[in-house]
Amino acid sequence: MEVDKGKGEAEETRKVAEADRDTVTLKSSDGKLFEVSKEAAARLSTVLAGMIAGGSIDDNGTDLKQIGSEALENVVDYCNKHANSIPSAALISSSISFNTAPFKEPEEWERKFVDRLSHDALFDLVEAANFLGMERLLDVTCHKISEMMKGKSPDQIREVFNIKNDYTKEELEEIRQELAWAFYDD
Amino acid sequence: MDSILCRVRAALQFRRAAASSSPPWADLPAELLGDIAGRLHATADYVRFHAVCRSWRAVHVEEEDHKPRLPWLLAPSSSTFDDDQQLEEQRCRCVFSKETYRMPGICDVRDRRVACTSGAAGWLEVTGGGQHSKGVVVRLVNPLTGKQEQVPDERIISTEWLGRRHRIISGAGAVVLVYELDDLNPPPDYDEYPRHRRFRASFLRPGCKRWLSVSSYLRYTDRCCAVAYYRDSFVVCVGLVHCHVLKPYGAPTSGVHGTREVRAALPGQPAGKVRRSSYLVERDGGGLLLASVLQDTSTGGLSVSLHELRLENNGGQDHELAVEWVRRDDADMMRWLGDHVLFLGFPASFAAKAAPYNGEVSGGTAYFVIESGGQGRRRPLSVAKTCSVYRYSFLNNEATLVETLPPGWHDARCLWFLPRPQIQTRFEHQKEGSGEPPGNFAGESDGARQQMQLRIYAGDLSPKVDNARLREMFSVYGKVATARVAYDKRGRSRGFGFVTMATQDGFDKAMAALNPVVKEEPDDSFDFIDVCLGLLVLFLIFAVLFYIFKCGNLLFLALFS
Repeated sequence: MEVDKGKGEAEETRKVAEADRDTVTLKSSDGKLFEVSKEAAARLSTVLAGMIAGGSIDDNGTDLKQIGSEALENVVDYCNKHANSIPSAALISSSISFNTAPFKEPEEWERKFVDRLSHDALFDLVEAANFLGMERLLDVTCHKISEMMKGKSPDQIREVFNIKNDYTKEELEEIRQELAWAFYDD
Repeated sequence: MDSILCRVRAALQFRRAAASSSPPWADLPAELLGDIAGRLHATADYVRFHAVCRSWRAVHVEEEDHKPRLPWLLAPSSSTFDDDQQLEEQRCRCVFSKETYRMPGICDVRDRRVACTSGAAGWLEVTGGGQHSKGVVVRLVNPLTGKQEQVPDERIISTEWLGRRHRIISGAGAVVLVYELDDLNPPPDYDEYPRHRRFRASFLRPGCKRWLSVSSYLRYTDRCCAVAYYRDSFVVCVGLVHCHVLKPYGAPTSGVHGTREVRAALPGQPAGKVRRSSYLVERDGGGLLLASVLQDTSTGGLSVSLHELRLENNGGQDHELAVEWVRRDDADMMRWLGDHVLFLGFPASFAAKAAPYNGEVSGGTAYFVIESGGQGRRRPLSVAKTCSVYRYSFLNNEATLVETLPPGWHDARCLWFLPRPQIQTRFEHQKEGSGEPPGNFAGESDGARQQMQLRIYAGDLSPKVDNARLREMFSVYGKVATARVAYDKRGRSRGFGFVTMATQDGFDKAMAALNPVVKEEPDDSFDFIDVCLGLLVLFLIFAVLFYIFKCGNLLFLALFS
C-alpha cells in the first residue's frame, strides 16, 4: 500500500512538472523526437490541444505513429516559425472566431514555407496537418495545391500529380460533352 | 480520440502498403479534396479538377454547383435583333484566368441572354411554332449546360420575353423586366425632337399573373445605360446626364399602363471629371445604387462614385415624385462595400459577396469594362476600338487595369454573370433515367432536397404532352409544384418528364394511382396512321410473296420441263 501511494505521488509530481514545461516532445513513426512550443502546438493543432488538455502527452515523446519524421519536422518547423512570427491582426482574429472567420491569404513566409517543399513532402504535410487538425496549416497547404492546378488541363494536372486516368473512353467522352467549353484545346 | 487514431492509422497503413514512388494524390481524404476543389474559383479550373480521375470526381457534392464562381464576361451581341438568320457564336471570358470560351449550348441560337440581378444569367430557348407564334415554347436554360433552369415561379417564363431586346430578372426573381429602346419609328408629332427614343417595357410584378406594359418617349437619349425596376417604378438612366423615372399609374387598359414620368438629372459630375458610364445595382437591403464611372479630364484616371436613389411622393399626391440621388461614401456604405464586390455590366449589374472568393476577389472593389482611348470622339475611324477591364478599389480609390480584352471585344456593354457548371457524379449509362435535375436559378435552395423526394418520373409520354398537360394530369392527385417534360435540343419531347408534387400526400396518391406506368392515352390520329401503315405493310408483304411464288413457279417450270 505504502509503495503504491508513493508511486501515485511520484506520478502526480511528474504530471505537474510536465504541465510546467513549455514544450512538448513529439515522436515520429520512425522514432525521431521533436520539441515544439506547447503554446504554439495547442494554438495551431486541435488534436495536440486536446492531448495537452487531457494530459495524454508523454514526457519521453508523444507517439505519432502516423507521421513520418520528414513531415513531422515540417510540422514542428511550421509551429516554431509561427510562434516566432509576429502574428498579424488577421491571424489573431482568425484564431479567435475560427469557424466564421474568412480564410486569409497565406502570409509571405507561409508561402515560402510550402513553396520549397517537394511534392512528396507537401503530400505528407497536408495529411499530417489533416491528422493533427491544424486548420491554418491545412489552409496554407491546400491553397498551395490548388495553385498548382490553376490554368491546367486535366492531362497536365494528371502529369503534375502523377495520377492515372481511370476513366473509360466512354466516360471521358461524356465528360467532354458535359461541359465541352472547358476542354477546348486552344 | 483513440478511435480516430485507429481509423486514421488503418487508412494510412493501407496507403503506405499501396505506396508507389509517387504519393497517391488520387487517394487524398475526401474532405481535403473537397477543400482543394473549393479553392478553385475559376469555373474552368473547377470543372477540369473533376475530370482528372474518378476519386476526384466523386468528392463533388451537388451543393457545390450553386457556390459562386468567378464571374464571366459575355460579349454583347453584334447582330441586330430582327435578323433571325444571322447566327453568331457567343463568347465568354474569364478575366481572372484570361481564357475565352465558346458556349456550345447556346452558340447556335441568337442572342437571348437574360440578366439576373443576383448575378446568374440564363438563356432563352425557343422551340416549336416555326414561322407562326402559336405553340411557341420558351424555356430558360443555363448557358453553360444548355439544361433547363428552375425558376421560382414558372409563370414568369413567357413568350412576352421574346418581344423585347433586354431582359432582366430582379429582386431574387420577384420582378421580371423586359424592355427595349428603339428609335426606328419616331412618331410624327415628335419630329422637332429628333433625339427622342421610345422606351417600351413589359414587366411582371410580384404576385401578379399578368404582364403589364409601359411605353414612353424619352428625350435626350443617345445610349441607354441602365434600367431597373425599383419600388413600383422604372428607373432609366440614359446617356450620361439624364435619368427618367417612370411610374405606372391607374388601371391598365388592355395590359398597357399609363405612366407618369419624372425627369431628373443624374448626380453632377465633379469638377475636372466626366462620366463615362453609369450602372444601377440592387443592394440586398432593398436600395438601388447608381455607380458612375468617372474619368479625370487631365490625367485620364478612372474612378467610381456611388449614389443611392431616394424616391419620395411629394405632398401626398401620388403622381408627384421627388427623385434624389444621395452620395454614399459614408461609413455605413463602406462597411457594406467592404464585404461586397460590384460587377458593373449591361443590361444589369450585381453585387456579390466577397468572402466565398477567399481573397481572390477582394471586397470593396468594382469591376467594369470601358472602351479604351478617352471619350472616343477624336479617335480616328481606322483604329479599331479596344475594351479594357478595370478594377476600382473603394478603399484606396485606385483603378487598376485587369486586362485589355482581345481583339473582337469592341463593345463595352458586356454582361457579367456567375457561371454555374454542373458536374455529374454519375455517368449516363449508370443512371436509371437520363433526366438530370434541373439547375437552380435564383439561388433558392431551401427545400430542394425535400422536393427531390416528392419528384415523380413520368415515362412513356406521348409527344403531345407538354408541361401544362403534364401538370394537369397530376393535378387530380394534389397540388403540383413543378411539372416538366424533358425536351431534346431541337425541342422534341424525349418522352418522359418529371413532376414534383407539393405535398407528400399528393405524391403518395399519384404514386398509388399511376404506378407502374404513367401514360397518356394515344392520340386518335396517330391510331389511324398506324392502321394505315399496318395495312400498307401487309399489302406489300403479300405482293412480294405473290411475286416470289409466281417466279418460283416459273423457275420450277424452267428447271423441270
